[in-house]
Amino acid sequence: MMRSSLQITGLWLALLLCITLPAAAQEDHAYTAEQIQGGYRLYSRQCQLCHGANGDGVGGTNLGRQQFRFVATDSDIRKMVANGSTGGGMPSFALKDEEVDGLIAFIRSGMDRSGVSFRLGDAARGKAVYDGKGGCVACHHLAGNGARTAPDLTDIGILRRPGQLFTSLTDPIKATMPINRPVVITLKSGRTVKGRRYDEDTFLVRLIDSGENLVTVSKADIKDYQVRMDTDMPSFRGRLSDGELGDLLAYLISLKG
Amino acid sequence: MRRIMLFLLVLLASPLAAAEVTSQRLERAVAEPQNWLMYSGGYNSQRYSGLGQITRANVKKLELQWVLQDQVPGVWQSNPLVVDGVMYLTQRPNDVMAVDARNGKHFWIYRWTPDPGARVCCGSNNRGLAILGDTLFMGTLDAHLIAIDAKTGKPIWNIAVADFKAAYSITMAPIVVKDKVLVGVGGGEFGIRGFVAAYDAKTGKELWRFNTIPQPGEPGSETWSGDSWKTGSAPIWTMGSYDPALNLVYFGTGNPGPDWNPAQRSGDNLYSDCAIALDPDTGRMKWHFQFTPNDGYDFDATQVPVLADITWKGKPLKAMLWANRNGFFYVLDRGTGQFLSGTPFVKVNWASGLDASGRPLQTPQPEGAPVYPGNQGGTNWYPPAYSPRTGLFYFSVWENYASIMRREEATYEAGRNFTGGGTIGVAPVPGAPTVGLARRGPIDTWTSEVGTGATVALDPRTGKRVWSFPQYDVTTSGNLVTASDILFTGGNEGYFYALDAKSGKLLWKASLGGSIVMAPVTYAIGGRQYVSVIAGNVLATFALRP
Repeated sequence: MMRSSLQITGLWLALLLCITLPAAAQEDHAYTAEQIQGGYRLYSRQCQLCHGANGDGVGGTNLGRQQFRFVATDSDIRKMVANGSTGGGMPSFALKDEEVDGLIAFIRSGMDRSGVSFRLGDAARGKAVYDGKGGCVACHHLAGNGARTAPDLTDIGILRRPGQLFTSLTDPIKATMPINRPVVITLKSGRTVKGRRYDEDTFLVRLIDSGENLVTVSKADIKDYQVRMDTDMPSFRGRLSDGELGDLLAYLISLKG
Repeated sequence: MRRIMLFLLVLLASPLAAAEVTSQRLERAVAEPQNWLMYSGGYNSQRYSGLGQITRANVKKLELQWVLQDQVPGVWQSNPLVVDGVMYLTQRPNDVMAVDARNGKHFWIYRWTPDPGARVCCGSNNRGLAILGDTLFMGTLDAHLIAIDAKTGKPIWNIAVADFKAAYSITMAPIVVKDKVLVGVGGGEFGIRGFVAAYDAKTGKELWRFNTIPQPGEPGSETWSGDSWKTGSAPIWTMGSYDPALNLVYFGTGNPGPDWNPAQRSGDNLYSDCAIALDPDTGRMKWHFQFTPNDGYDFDATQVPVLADITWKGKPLKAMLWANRNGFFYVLDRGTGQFLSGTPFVKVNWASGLDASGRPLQTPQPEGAPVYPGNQGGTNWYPPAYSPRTGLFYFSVWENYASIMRREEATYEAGRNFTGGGTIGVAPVPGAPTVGLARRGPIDTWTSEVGTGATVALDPRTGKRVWSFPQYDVTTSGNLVTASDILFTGGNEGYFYALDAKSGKLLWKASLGGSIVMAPVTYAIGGRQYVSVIAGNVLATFALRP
């Protein structure tokens, strides 16, 4: 459907879509941990010499960040690997299908060597899940909307890799950044402060509290300080279908500030 | 009458009315605590000042006198010298400044622009200057040694110490011994062959060179397999110490290369990760002690050797005290290099202990398993302090901090990285930030879960902590202790501390808003004691409110 609209409309719309939609949005793909790790091994042998350990060795291309010059979809990457690029100087590689699958999975994982399996769906559908069934806005802030009790997601697609975001959605305790762990502070005055830390040092804790106030607590005033190792983020495994999770993940990856 | 008063005022106010810094003055530097004549204050590198105007009772009256703003952003590791009222210091990459130590106002700035091809592992750092007569000496990122007129800021001579194209560099402050300037080279991540060399202070002529890696046929060469000695690194990038009575100069040597793949250079890899004692007249080695043979962890022995005369088992001992990056605290006999004791001061799992000769009983961890201490070590190059009054050794440590090392075959190419793998900090959650060499921003998103810092006072006679001052973030600060038993230190959080050197109790602090990655210095002008510290991009100087 999207392809037909691209054919019908002019170049300006094609450009607009390229900007507003993530590269992987057009197809639904699942990537397994085995593929990602196999892809990493292949990448270090065959690709790293030019593309570099971080995927940014070729100008204009950053494989880990999904920034490409000549490709967008998985099948584009497949063609590029098989045929090479006359314009960009990339040679062709005769790889088996499953090897290319691994390579693509590794690139799509954000070059996450310890990558977990994940599925990428359609970002536009993912936005609908975010705004609707997922209920994300109840806690998360994004581009000016939503609550601020949970981390701002405006540039989460830059901050986290797909596998880490997928873990956040399905097993959030395992993916909560230490700084985002919920804290419960009982002051000597008897008052309780709940919130999420922005920064902590030897003497002070700076946080956003449950009322979205920016608060500094002096450790000298603290009677009891709990950094909770659980999280208020629910697991969406079971709450959302696999397809919806893939769509939501694709949307989150597209959030780049 | 008025004219005489004016004359007196001019005399008192003129900071440049000063005697030359002779080698005799350098030998007795500790006896003129109003000055800070070399990187560590004195040849014994105790960073103990005889000044005692700022006391535990009045330290709360410390107030800011002046600040000097660095014009060049980046980690500022420089350690100032103070000579008769004038402060000399470097800023990135290789600027030298002379400022009035009472107000921070510049007399002159000398700028050396290192060749853009200069390569350093860890930033455009420079740790400071040395002085002899009225000549300052600075090593540069492109491995030059430059003599500069302290009165005018004009260069006197400038020589290439080594080839920067092969990634030799100089980040350390040189040390002057008698009529020579001694300086070592960095490049431990680039497969250099490390050395320290001595230069005629008047002319820059090289007088001797000690290679930290023996070539085939020389003693110690059997500790390198094949041709691995050629690219074995063992740089010298931290400052040395000197014992005039023993006529020995001491340095710590850095990691062997490639850093994380010891299989590529089997053997002990002498004289990497060593304390070495050299005759400053000839460059001949009198003794060495190796802390980490066949190091696979990047545990540079690049800590400043602290020389202290202590009582050891009832007898006087000319000791060398050394808290090593590998997590052990050592006491050596600095006359002979004999190992006397070694105790872990943080969690250590790469070795189960030390044998009677001080050699570690290495316990390599399985691939992918955390190594304690982590890559940056239990401590690192940031200078410790020792107080002869308290008998305690003060230093900054990283606690509960681990790394996972990745080992791979490295291929040498001149000027390119030669590390044999890599290292990542252990994080509680995949992708979570970890502590690193220096803070990357003002906000700590890594939290104490990946390691914490502490300023520690250790009794050298027992190797045990007497007190710890814990810090939430790690600390990369050097230390300074005074005759009034105040320990000045800091940390990555940007706090500058005055601690009770006996108890570790916090007496005073200032939030300076930038990481402290140098060691504070103290000096006096006109009977008034000053304390200077660099935090972030600001040098701040404090004194008591009158």
